[in-house]
Amino acid sequence: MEKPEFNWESIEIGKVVGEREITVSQEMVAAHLEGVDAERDWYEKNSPFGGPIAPPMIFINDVLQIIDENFQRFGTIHARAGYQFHRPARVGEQVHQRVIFKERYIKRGKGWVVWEMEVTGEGGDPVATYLHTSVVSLTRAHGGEK
Amino acid sequence: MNKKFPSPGELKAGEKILGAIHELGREEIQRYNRYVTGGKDTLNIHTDDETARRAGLPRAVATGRHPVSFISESLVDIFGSGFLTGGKIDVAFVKPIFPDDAVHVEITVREIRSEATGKRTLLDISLVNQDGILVTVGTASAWTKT
Repeated sequence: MEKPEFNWESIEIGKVVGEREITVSQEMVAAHLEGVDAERDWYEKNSPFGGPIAPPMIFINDVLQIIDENFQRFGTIHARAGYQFHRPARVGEQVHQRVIFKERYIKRGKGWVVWEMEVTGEGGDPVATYLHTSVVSLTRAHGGEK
Repeated sequence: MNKKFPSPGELKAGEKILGAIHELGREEIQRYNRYVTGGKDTLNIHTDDETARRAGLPRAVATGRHPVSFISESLVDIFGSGFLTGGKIDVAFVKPIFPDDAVHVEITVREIRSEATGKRTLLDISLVNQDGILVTVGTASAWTKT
């Protein structure tokens, strides 16, 4: 099935954009650490949390991945980000990720959308919250050119 | 990248902490792109000047998400589990980061607040490029665990 195009009109506040389960693997952690040129024993060997943990930003790209699994998306510019960490995800742990449309608004003649991704653990306890704010082209009905 | 930082219990309001310098050459940006794409080399506004120009940019730019990890890792260095269990980051991407820029993290202690569950340190954070220009600005906080 073809994915719908993402635009200003497709933003429904509170609507679930997508959700999935993923298992945090040592390979994911290694790829993240290589990507950001970081190293830490807590991520690769052992930590005070009992075994290796994932870096707090391990899920940073998953907001857009989940959006792109569900929409065709062009030309959104990442403008702001917010992160709240409740506890680290453990390597080997399965977590649940859910992205919703949190907010949309018009400011300085531009459209803005806020997506929120909640990451929860196997027992449903909160792991982290990621907020991703992008600039979106406005449709003609809202003062845009499209 | 793990620089020696002061212990959180010694921090005072107004104190400024400088993080390590991170060079974001094309290879580093390419490596982060491979991480985002699951190992693939792709042409996009982050990796290809021509694609970036077609999108209205002067040339390729690094993703804003990439260097946010530099901030979070600096906060793990300083606060350890106090950041991983209750830490927050809120940032705005105010200027582009171009290939071959070098950025460093600046952290300023704004306030140390006593709350019912412990001491929370409120911080102003920024990423500054080699010309002294703020490219990312925001706030963060973490618990001080003793």
